[in-house]
Formats: sequence, structure tokens, C-alpha cells
Amino acid sequence: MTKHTVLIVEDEGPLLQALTTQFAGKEFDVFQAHNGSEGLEQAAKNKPEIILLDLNMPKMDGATFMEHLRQDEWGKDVPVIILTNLQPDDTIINSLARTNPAYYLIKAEWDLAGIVDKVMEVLQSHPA
Amino acid sequence: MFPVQFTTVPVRLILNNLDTATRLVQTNRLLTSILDALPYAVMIRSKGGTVLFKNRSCGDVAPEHSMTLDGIPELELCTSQTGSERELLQILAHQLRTPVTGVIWNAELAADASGEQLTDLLSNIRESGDKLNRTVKDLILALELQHDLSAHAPVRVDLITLLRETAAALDLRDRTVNISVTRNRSDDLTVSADQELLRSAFLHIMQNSIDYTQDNTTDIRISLTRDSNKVAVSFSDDGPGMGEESSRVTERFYRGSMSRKTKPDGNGLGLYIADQVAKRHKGKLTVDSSPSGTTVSVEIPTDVADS
Repeated sequence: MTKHTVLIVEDEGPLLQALTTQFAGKEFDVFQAHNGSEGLEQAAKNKPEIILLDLNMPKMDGATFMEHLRQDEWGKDVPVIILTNLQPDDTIINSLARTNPAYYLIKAEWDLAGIVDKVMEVLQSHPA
Repeated sequence: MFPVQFTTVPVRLILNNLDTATRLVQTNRLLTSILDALPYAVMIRSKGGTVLFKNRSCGDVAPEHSMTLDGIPELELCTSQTGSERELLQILAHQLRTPVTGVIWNAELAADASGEQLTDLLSNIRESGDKLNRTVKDLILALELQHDLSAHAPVRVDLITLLRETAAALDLRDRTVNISVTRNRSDDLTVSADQELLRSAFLHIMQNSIDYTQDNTTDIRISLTRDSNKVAVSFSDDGPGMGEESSRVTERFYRGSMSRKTKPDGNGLGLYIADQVAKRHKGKLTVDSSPSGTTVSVEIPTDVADS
């Protein structure tokens, strides 16, 4: 069975490791990035089927990552799930409204299995 | 897609066009996930009373505050939060939620893990727990200082010894940290002070130098000078400085744009705590910052009688 591919962009070490372990255990090939700049490099290099994206990161935050990603021919359509502990406010939402992520999830309110389910749901509605 | 401004009260959105509203709620995953992420109740229902969506915070009772919307998918709600309240909420929510998430997720995985993987997961849990502990300690200390609650009897504190102990407690973040101390050997560098408060203040100042220097090596130069009835302790680094907002860095929860970009997970309490500690001792804290470095100076009277 062909593995799915996911890019996880997350600056917090324990969270990045937990997500990586979970997805690797569910037969995903996982690519990692610790900030938006690395995320863009990894996305361009590996072209994952889906991206899990934190917002609050050093060097380049998630909203800026999205702006750059959507300017790319491949990147404009790749599904992205925002995975953050920031509460949505008008600044965040108006920024994301232009770049159209699939979901906005508060990390603290989701267990790892639930995040995998969301990813699978999005992949099933975005056939490669 | 949709322009949104958020309210802070539970709200019932009443949409006139049932078909369009139903389609909106059923197909717009981003909208419903955003509404689910809000900490207050949002219910969407048609004018006829059909409930189309309730977010996670919404119980069985419809929110009292209602807004009737004729044009959809535009959702316009009025925000009643000020900018600073919103920012404070974001800092607290993020700073507490993130390490809690680290503990929970890694504990979930640890339940089925063994060997080296289990060791790594337990290490992650410890790291997240430590981070949460630091944030909670800072919050409690900031509140105690704000309300004048924290009080230990003053003792005679040898500042050199205190600085040495504080340096040993720093989180070096895998960097090389060089700390140098200059002083006039003939000076008596002891003060009458709350030792633990002074330790917190020095720890925050030095940790800031490490956290906000982007190079692999951080140099912290500490100088101590005695001037009749007070001692000045200055901490200097070669970091990028605090930008134009350096005059605000001792405000509680304040984070300048430079700080947010370099270390987005800071809580904005470090220099507030240090400043309050200086004031508690009838001393003062000053900040001199430029793109070539920052100097934070703390002046403490040598004796309570001198303050």
C-alpha cells in the first residue's frame, strides 16, 4: 500500500516529535520543519500530500508561510490544516481567509488519533 | 471567503436563507472549525428556528445575544475586546496550552511504547512539564509582585555568590554562554535584600540575553559597582536589541515585534518581574538597547535603612 506523505511544521520539540511518532505509526512518510522557512523548503523539495502547520513560530510564522505557499503553482492547492494553540481572532482569520486552510484546530483540544482522522478526511476529499 | 470580526459574548447567528445557510455550514469546514476553536458559545440557526450548527462551547441553551444576518456567507460580528486584552489572552492561552499539549500527547504515546522510544517520550513529557512549571511560576510571581504579596525577610546577600548560583541555573539552550564579571575588589558588594526575588530578577535578565541572541555563542558581561549607599549590577550583551519599543519592555506581558519574531513563545513577564523586584527594594531598573546590544542595569540600596 502506498504511504501517504505529510509535512509537519512545528517549532515545539515535544509536539513535533509526538506528531511525527503518531503519523509514522499510521503508515505515513513524515517530513518535519521547525519554522516557516524550513517548511517552505521541505514543501518544495518533498511535495507532501498534506501539511500540518503551526502558526506561532520563529523566523517565519504560519500565516506568512501560507502566503508564500499559495503563490507557488504546486503549493496553491495543497491542503493545509492549521494546528495551533492561538485562539482565532480577526487578525489571524482575515489573514487565513486569503490562503484557505482546510481546518483550524486548537492543539490542546485534539488528541493525536483525532488529528489523524482529520488528515484522512481531508485526504479523502483531496485525491492526489 | 468571509470577513470575520469576533465578539466575546455567546452569540446566536440567525440566517435568513435556510438553503444557503445549510450549504455554508455543511461545506465550509474552515468556518466551522474556527467557530469550534472559540472559547464561547456560537449557534447558527435559520430564521425559522432550525439549528444548523452549535460549536463545542455551546450547550443545549441557545445564547441570548443574537444577530440577524441577511447576507451570507459574510459573517460580521462586533468585537468588544481591546487590542491589549486580546494580546494578553493569546499569550496566556498559548503559553499554558502548549506545554499541556506536550504532556498529553507524549503521555498518550508512552502508554504503548517501550525501550528507547519510551525514554524519548518521557523526556518530552519532562521538558513540557518544566516549561509549564516555569510559566506558572512566572505568572504567580508577577501577580504576587503586582499585589505586593510576595515577602521574605531581607537577608544580607553577597551579590557575587548570588550571580554565580543564578548562572548555574540558566537554560543554555545548547549554546556556548560566556559570562564575565567585573568588579572593584575593594568594594563591599553585599546588599540587604529578598534573596529569592533578586535571584528571579537576575535569572530573567540573563536568560533573556541567551534567548534573544541568535548566534550560537552568547556573551554576558556583568559589572558591579558600589556608589555610596547602593550597588549597581549591569548585564550587557551583543544581541540584536529590543527595537523601538524598548521603553515598554518592563510592562507586564508586553512583547515587542522583535521579541515575538525571535522567540514567539515568550510570556512577556521577565523584565516586568525584574523591574518590580528592583522597585520592591526601593531601587530601579534601566534598559539601554540598540541594534548592537542591550544593557539592563539594576540598582539596589545596600541597606534597607538606605532605601
